[in-house]
Amino acid sequence: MAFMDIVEFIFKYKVWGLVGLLVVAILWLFRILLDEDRSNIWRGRFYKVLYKLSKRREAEKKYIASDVAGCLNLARREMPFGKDLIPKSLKVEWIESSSGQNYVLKEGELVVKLDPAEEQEKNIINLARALIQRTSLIGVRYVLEKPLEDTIDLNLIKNLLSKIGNRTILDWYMKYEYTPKIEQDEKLKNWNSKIVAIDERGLFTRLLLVELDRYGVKIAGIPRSSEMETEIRGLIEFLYRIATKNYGENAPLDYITKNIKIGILIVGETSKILLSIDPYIKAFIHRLNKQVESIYVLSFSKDFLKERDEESEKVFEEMRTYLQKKIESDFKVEKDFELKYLCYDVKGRKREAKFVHYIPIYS
Amino acid sequence: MKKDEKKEVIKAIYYKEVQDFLNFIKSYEKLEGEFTCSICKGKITAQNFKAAIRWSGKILFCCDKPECYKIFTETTRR
Repeated sequence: MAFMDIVEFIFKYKVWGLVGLLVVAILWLFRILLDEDRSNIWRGRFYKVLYKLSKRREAEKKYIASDVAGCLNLARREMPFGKDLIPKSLKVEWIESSSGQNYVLKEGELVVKLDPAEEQEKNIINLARALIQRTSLIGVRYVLEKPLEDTIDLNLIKNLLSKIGNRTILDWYMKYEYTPKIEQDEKLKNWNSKIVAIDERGLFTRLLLVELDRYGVKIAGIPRSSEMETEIRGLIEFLYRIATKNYGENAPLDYITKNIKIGILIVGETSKILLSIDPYIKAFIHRLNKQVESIYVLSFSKDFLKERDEESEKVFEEMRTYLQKKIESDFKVEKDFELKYLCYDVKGRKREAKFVHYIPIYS
Repeated sequence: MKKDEKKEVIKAIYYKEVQDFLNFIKSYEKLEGEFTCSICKGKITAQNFKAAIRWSGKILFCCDKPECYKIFTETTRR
């Protein structure tokens, strides 16, 4: 609502208009107070002003800590990752060295010097990196070859920073960290092109990382083996082929190894689903017969059809919904998550994608 | 908003309090001589200190060179 609209609203409804606005303001404040991350952002803004006015050490520290935590925690909530969120939520705790409350470091505990308030962008990037590297890929890092581990980290950091919505931070990171790191290593460059392609189709955080997370749980306590390395490499190649496949082109939709058993259903061909959902149901049964442990159903909206064939677009949406209902009612599956997102297809058209993860229950 | 079970706590040192922190570590850990960056082996001072971690019982330091900090956080990934 623009400022003039508010003025007009108050003039129109007078006292009741003011009361209404007050109620809205109170509800808005409550929303902020109940949301720790949003409160951190506002607390940061408050202490930033206080610091600018007073130049007091305590105000600066409170600004730095609240703002970094608020920015990164809000950004991570925008990152789609199944049921859980990666990375973990961040809390910055100052070690109060000057007041004599000295702190003995525990095993594995990281202590980072934070820069002055004027260099807050650097603080955000440094802590984003530490957060991603310490709280993602848990349980699988020891299996991943280093260039692959690095490229996953780099892209996760890039995704996290991009969600902050501050162009300066992202540009700095891309210019001084992401691009130079990729340019200096051929292996890393090769992995990165694959991860970026997978990410552009929305399969990086929604599928690859979900599966790596599940994989980490499965191999917990088992020593690294070349078989594990091959399995993960194969998973990435499998997703890369799907991400880069052209319309009508065939790509394997099952990936079955000792520790990874996944199947994918892509609902894309309009002519196919408009006739019947049976081929998809059969494909779903086929995957269940293969005893897969994860089935992902990926479907793309057909908004571009609206212009030339509105009726078909409508039927497509109905069939898409019907297919999902049928899967959920006819099969013993647990719906792990359902996510909607926007992406571009191989023809560069903006598409709304729906991604559902099912975990079959075999009795 | 999704609820999280646990937060990742990162300990931070205010840039003006680095010297106190280094002095404390020196006396508490009974360390002698100069602190060095575990990556480039350069001398660590209050001016160029960037990070520290206890790793396999030992305290490792990192200077503020961006390339050192990158490698430091990479090698201390869990």
